[in-house]
Amino acid sequence: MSSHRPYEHFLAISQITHRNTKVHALESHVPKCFFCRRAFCHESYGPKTVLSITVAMNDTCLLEVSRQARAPIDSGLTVIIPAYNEAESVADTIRSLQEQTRIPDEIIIVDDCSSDGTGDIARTFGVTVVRPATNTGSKAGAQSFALPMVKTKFVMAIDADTTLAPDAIEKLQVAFEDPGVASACGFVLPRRVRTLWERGRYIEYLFAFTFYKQVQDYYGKPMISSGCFSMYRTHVLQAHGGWSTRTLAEDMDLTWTFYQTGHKVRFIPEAVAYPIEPYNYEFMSKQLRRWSHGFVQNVKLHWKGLLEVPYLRSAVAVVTWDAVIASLAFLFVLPLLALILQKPWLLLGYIIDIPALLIPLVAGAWPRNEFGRALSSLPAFFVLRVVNAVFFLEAVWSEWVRRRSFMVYEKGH
Amino acid sequence: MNAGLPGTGIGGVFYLLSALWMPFHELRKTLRRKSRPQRMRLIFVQLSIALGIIAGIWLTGWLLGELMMMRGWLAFKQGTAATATNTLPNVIRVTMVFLTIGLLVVVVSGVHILKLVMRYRKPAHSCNSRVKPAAVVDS
Repeated sequence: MSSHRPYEHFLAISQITHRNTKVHALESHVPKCFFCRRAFCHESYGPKTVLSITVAMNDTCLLEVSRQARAPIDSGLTVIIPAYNEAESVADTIRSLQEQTRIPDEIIIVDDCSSDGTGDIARTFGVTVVRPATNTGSKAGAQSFALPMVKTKFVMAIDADTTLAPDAIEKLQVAFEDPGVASACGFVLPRRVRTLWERGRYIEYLFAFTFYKQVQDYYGKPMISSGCFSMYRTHVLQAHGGWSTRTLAEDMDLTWTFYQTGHKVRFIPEAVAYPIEPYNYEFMSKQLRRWSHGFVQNVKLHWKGLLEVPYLRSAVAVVTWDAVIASLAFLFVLPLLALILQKPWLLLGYIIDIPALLIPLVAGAWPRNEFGRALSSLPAFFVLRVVNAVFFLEAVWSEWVRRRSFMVYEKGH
Repeated sequence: MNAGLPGTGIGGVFYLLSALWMPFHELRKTLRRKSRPQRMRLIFVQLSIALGIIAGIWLTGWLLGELMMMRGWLAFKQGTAATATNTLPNVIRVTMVFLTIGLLVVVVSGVHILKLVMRYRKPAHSCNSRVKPAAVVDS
């Protein structure tokens, strides 16, 4: 049958078993021995069957079997979850990771000096919990704190208020079949769509991930590998110093840095994540402030380097233009023109692009059976857009004109 | 997540044109034997979205134009307007479309010119102290 030792044969089986503990997941590919390429039929391939085979072949205790299977995994994955006072949501996040079709090899919770028992809740799930001596002050700080502890080939960052679709990790990891890919991110949709702000964000995400981001990915330049759900090649991430705290948008900073060093970033729309988005104005304003300042800070930091990155340089230029000029038009030009010219129909300019929004929304919502939700949430988007404009102009004014960098990381969600 | 205002401004036009360009881009890749069949579905979907957006915008402009014509006609019938014009604006005028595309061309060209200027001024610049030498790629 084979020229290698039974132990090697068993090890190959164990690796596959360890990565895919659910029998239905195994059916997606034919398991083969790494050495002799012998295929195993499904009937004999349940985890229990494999374990009994290994014990019989090797006479090794189950714990040892588990450890041997873990250590040499070529595509091992560690998940880092930064958490500061996330007692309400961290359990759902861990549970969703443990129920994946491709279960992570290690889950590290960085309990960033929480006062609500976040760490204690996480420990009940059997995951690794680390706690820095003092609060790191930002998500990037907490993630980078755990990065040296990662020994696997891949590392994933996920927010403590985010859950994943059951096959999200399996789908996302496909991106790394290309050895040049340093990072990959997935489709993000709010988990709760109830309040005005959550609805506005739902439309924003549905539109952007259905249209803009897929176009960006086609040209090989997704603008951001989203911080709430991204996977990285560990050694590349470590070589870049992890997540930087020099801007408030560490995900954008890292993505743009990857491009400048010749790495690829991918967007995989089939991998879906569900974060909790700000449900009231207070949280939303904190998040918008952080994002808008983070964007302006990154443009300031990277603009020279981005000039050498095709497509992305144009995308960033038009986004910057819109952030400034479209915001000014929205907040000042349109209402002033309507008032001065006594033509109220000019105010239709606020919603004139409904068809431009509606088509991608239908394309995104229809396959998810969320057409009604998308349609009913559309008005909220126009409110969020105006608020967005205010925060962008404030960020541009503060960072570019007054040259006052806002670096306080206020947790929004 | 998204900087800028989705749907508005030249950003929307940029992605619209990017989607319309996809088939030509893919054709070029095919000729260079770099095409991948799995990208065809993405191209089809995004191209459909782009064409749908164009159709939707045209329809909106036509509808608004009709509404305004009707309003002008009613005003004329009631004697509150001097004349009913049959040349009331189609809200989405061709000139507006060209103006927006022209603006986009100016911004994108500006970036390219800036790139050339920066290359000329500083041939081997390093923009980012954090950046390590390129391409650490797995085998």
